[in-house]
Amino acid sequence: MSSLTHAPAAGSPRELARRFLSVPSAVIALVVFVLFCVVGFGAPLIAPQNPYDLRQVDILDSLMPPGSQSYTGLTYWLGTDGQGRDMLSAMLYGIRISLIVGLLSGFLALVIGTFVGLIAAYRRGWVDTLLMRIVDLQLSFPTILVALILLVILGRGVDKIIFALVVVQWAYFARTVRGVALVEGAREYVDAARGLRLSGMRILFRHILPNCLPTILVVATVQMAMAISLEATLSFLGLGLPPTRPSLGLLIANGFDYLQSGRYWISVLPGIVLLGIIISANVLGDRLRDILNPRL
Amino acid sequence: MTSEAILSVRNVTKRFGGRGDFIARGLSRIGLAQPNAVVHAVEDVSFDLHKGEVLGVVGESGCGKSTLGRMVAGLLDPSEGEIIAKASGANTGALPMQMIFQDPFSSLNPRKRVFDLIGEAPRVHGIVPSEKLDAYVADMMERCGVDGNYRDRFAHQFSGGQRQRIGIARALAVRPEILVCDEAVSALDVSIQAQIVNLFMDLRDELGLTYIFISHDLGVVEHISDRILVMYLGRIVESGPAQQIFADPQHPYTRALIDGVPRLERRRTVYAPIIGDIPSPIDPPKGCHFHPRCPLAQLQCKVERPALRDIGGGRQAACHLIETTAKKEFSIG
Amino acid sequence: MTTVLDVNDLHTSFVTPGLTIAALQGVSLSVGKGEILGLVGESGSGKTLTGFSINRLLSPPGRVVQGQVLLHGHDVLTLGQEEMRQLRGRRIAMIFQDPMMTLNPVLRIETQIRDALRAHEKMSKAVARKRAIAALDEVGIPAPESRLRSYPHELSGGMRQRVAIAIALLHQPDVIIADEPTTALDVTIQGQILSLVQGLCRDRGTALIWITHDLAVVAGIADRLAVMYAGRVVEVGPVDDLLDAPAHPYTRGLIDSVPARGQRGQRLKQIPGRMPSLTELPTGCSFAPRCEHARAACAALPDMTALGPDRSVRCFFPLAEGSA
Repeated sequence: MSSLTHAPAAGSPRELARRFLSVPSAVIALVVFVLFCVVGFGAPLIAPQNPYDLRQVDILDSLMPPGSQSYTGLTYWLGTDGQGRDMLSAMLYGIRISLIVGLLSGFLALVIGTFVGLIAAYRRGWVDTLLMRIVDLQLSFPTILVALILLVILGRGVDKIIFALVVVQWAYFARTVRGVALVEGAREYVDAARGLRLSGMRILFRHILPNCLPTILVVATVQMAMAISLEATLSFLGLGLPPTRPSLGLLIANGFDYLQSGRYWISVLPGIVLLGIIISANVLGDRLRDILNPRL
Repeated sequence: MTSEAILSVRNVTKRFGGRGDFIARGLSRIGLAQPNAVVHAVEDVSFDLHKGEVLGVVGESGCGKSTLGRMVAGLLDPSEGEIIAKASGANTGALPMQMIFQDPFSSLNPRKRVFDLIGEAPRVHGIVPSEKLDAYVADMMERCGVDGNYRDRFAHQFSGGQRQRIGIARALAVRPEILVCDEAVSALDVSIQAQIVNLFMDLRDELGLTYIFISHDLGVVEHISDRILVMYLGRIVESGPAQQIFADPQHPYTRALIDGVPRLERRRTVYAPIIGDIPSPIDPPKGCHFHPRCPLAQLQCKVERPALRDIGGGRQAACHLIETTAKKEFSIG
Repeated sequence: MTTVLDVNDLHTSFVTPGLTIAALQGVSLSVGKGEILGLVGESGSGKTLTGFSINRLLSPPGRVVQGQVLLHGHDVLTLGQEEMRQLRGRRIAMIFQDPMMTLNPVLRIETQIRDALRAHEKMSKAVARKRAIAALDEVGIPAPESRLRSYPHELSGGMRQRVAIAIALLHQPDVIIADEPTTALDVTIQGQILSLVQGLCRDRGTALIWITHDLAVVAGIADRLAVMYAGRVVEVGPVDDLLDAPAHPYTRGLIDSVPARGQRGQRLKQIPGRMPSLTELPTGCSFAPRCEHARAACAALPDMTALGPDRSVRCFFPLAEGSA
């Protein structure tokens, strides 16, 4: 009596993955990004040298160009920096910390922002107005400024920079999620759920939220790229991460003074890597947005 | 059909807008902004719903029938008046009213499987113990003409007619006594409409349901309803047994509506329609709402709102002229 | 009756690299001067696509792949872009279900009517204004001078549709194709539009193809009917003959699905299942899976067979009532 369409459901994970990968740039970006993640998180295992272990670092080996050898037989594939740290190892650890900070702060901002956005959209009235005015306030300050001030006050540390990044990012999530939640909340299936006397929280988190996920996902990828970039900027300025845990930004900063004397590898190589991470994250976000948007 | 009233609607009014947020209110108080326009969606509506009957509610845009339906189903609160449901309390946890929506494509959550769509509420409200839920959901689906084996599928894998059936199964799963159908067949093709209308009638006979059937399609309403309410701009203008109203409409608006409906038997008709546009519910005409378009309007109609009065035979109408004219033939156009 | 528009064996498909979906498969119909032809079908039947194909308003990947559309004997499908543009609006006009497909939301009514006039005729602003007022008056819009200055969103749905009709009539076209023009309108407003269109066709001799899914509407207004199912015409004939004594089982099913007076409380006769989508068309008669009279022979595709001078049906076993 009832017949079914047998094509894979539009919107099923398999169908979405197929469309996502149908554009070469998306495939490349995905591969590059995954590669960065793998080497970054695997840094302790694959780095030739632990650049934070002072016993492994020899100041006599400082400022050696790429390809040179240390007296212990270790090849400095990408040269060394001013302290004698192997650039390759330092960059691997740098990728690691940049990704951790970026992903973690992005994720926390997502959770907080989504929660605020959902509550604002569902409660409407003065709750909505209050929350959105706070969001507006937050968004009207330049992100760099707020992060700077916070880090100056808080000092250095991984937790502190994550905190600062969450503070400057959550508002953007809140506003976007509120918008999507308002649209979804106006749909008839929400009326049906209310008619079935399901509780407000259940409707919000089990009915509305899942339908907001595509948009949240797209915003998250874009924001993550921004978080990584922001962290690099702050580290470059000497804030946030301690010098004992150099992120890519700090590495770039450290090498800045040597650029003029031709020792490019200390700044430029980390810069290229940073660029690669951000671009691949952005391309992924763009592609996600493309396939998730024109859904009929 | 004289049975007890299981629902009483008393002097229900619903207004939208008018307040705005505190900034808008502050501005309008000092005269810098206009106060938000108030939409008078439903105005002073009263009626009883009897067990087992199908009450059709008809009217055109802005008449308030959808708003009325939502208030009855509990989705909106009236601005004034009350809705008293005398549920017989036969089932614990059961919800007395459920609504069937118009759009089969947006009334089902695209992220939920059919099993969840239908089974969530009975589980949450404890209507069915969890070990029996699977069979219960399958049974509901079969009753509504959808293969129970498909309960793992998502809504978008079904056609419009099937989705509407799933929506009906979802409503039935909480064992309601009253179903409010808001344009429930309007978005469906004619042949599918017939299937769903038949389903409604079957369910009424099997489960003893009571219906409020809201529609702009007079043909379907006439077919399925025992009694009907005719609404215009938020007010009831006529009510009574469906057969009688369709055979002999008393209110000039009802007359125009029924005469104007295209029918299969009327070939090459020369349409003599009613003039003028439907006014907006933001600024309805004073007195009788219908007077600007009524060919029989008198001075009294422009000034005084006609009350809904009994005109015999279980019928009511809101028109000044019906009492003063016994059997005048109305000719319009 | 002189034939104004003759559609012969029209085939329209959606052509993408790797996949071609045949949507219309051999649609033939004709309409004469002053005649109203009702083109009836449910969603997915191809009726809107037919209207778009005739007017060459298909957007890719839709394409007409075969057939002729003869306007006064000349094949419209062979015309170049510029010639087609001249024809559209002048000789063939179209009215859509949503008047906002005709009207631009950011332009005043006067501007839009003037643009429509000047697209085919040179005239001054003053003359255009006069013509615009006359056009609005003709479609029954009160106080047309002040309405000219309005934007579409300031008008009600019924008013907008009237303006769209006025624009369609500006150049006295030979044929108007109206695609569900009253479906979104209230009953009383629908009555007004029906009365208006009827009168205009009668007085000017404009041929009209009224596309709709609503049998009752078309019963009141049409002279002849063509019923479509799954991309093909399945029955054509005078409206009385078709509705009183249908020959095709689908037409019979459609008629039975409409609640009629005197049937209160009874079950409507329903057609089981639903129309196949374009990708799942059965070989042979496309209605056979749902037809209660289907037999082994229906595995082959029937052609349109004539049952009378102006009556034909696509069925091997037309209903007895229709074949009389």
